[in-house]
Amino acid sequence: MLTIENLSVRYGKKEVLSAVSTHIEKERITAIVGKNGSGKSTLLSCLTGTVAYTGSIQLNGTPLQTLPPKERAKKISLMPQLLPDTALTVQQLALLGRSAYLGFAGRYSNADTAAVANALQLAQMESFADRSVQKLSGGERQRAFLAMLLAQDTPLMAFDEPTAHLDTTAAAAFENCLRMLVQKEKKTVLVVSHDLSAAANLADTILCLHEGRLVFAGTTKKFTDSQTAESIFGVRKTFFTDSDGCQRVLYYR
Amino acid sequence: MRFFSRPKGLLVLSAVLLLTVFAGIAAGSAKMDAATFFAALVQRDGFETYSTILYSLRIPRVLAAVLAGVGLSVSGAVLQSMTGNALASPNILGINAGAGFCMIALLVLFPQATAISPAVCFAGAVLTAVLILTLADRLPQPKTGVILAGIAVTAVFNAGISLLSLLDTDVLAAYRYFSVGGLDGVKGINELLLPGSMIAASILLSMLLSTRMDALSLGDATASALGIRTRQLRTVCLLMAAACAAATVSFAGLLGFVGLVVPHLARRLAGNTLRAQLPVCALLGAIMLTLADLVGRTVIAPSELPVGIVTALCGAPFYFRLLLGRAKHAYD
Repeated sequence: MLTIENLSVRYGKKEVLSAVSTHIEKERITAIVGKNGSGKSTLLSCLTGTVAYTGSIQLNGTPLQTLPPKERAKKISLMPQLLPDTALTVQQLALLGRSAYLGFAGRYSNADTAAVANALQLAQMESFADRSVQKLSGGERQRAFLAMLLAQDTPLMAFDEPTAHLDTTAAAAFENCLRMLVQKEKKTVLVVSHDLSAAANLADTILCLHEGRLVFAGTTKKFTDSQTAESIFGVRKTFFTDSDGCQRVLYYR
Repeated sequence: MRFFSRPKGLLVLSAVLLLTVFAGIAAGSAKMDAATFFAALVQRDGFETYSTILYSLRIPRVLAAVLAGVGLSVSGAVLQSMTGNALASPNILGINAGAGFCMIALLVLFPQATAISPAVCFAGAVLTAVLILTLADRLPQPKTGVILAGIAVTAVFNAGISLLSLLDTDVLAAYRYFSVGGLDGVKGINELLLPGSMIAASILLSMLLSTRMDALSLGDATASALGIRTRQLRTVCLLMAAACAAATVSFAGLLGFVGLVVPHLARRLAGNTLRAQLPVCALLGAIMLTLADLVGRTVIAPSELPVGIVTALCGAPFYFRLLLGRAKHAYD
């Protein structure tokens, strides 16, 4: 789905990403983990064209740099780490997800309103449609922005620390939502996370960045079996079986 | 969907504007009864003097009030949307002062070249806006920074205007009036053609770009991910806001508060999308400034209060009321 080759990014003299090469498979959840400042968010910024980079990123064989912004926005959507504060209603926000599909006059078509209705339903935000985003709780706000991303209708959806500001219940609900997107909507999901346990229990594949370099890329099982987390993060791990009978991992200090 | 964002709501506001315009044309120091007024309006023989008063003085002045109200309000709405700061307005950001400085410089250097004053004001407004945004981008919090940079730039341009006006006594007289803002300098509809065209073109473009501007208000990272060319859109927004403000400054001087207050009121009436706000903003701005000018012309007749004084006297408490309302909502 997404092939990254020799991706490097510099902020002034500092190299934030250094010759990263990897492949992200479609219809899977891939988590990008790493310490603060390891280049995780920068990698997502490269996908949405907000950061200049060297190397290449290809989406199904098409270099992203050759795509006009509107075409790129029909293929990759991004939920930023800090959600913007907006007084728009949930429905108005979801409609902005259709920005890439607007014509010259900037009017929404029937297809746009249908896509938004579907997005609100998938994000379970239909009953909040007329509520101001400012007045929602953290979890509801997250789902409002998820509705915007769903309305954007892209095969690849990227999330930057989506559960960092949520309580445990809201975070679990959001992670279930991401699983549903992959299983039922056939989306490819890319999640940046600094929470190793959450990433390992959510993702199919893990990419681990350290000081701008890719130090691990592989299945979650390989990651948890390896000593990567222990050597980079200085953590220990324990495996346990949850109440649903699923094997889980907990990283701790 | 709120009432004022629907066609019916816009019709109500249009009707109020028509009534206000009509009152603005009918009222003045030369008293006319209804029959005389209508006779003068249709330019019947024997009513030439009254017709001249209507067509040379009152109608251009009321049209100027409508245009100034529309120009400043739309400029304020676009600036508030693109900076994401509810305090942004052409006056506070110094765009008016920049336009005014160029206007005064033109008066000093080329006193005969008044025909190009809207274009000169536009250049001044654009340069100021670019300067402010460049300064704000270098500050840690661009949303607040844009206001702080605006205050600094306004101070510099106001000092420049004062200096130029002190050098030339004729300019000093013009400056006194210009700095308050007023509409009695407008002597004919022809003077309003270029500013009117600039404002009309900006409104049309703002409507076409309004949805993209809503996306831009979510911040550059989110807007880029939505497929918006953020830098280009920001530049176009800036040019539109500067054009509207400069066109107004060229014939009405440094009118305050309209560009700040009206967008807030429009947001309350029409909701948060710019497409719903802009028509309400334009109509409300026109109504408020026509009313303010009407009050200014009649309250101490036969003398006049410049419209800038009326807008400041009414606008400041009104704006304070709005802020208190916002604070109450925030605590709720």
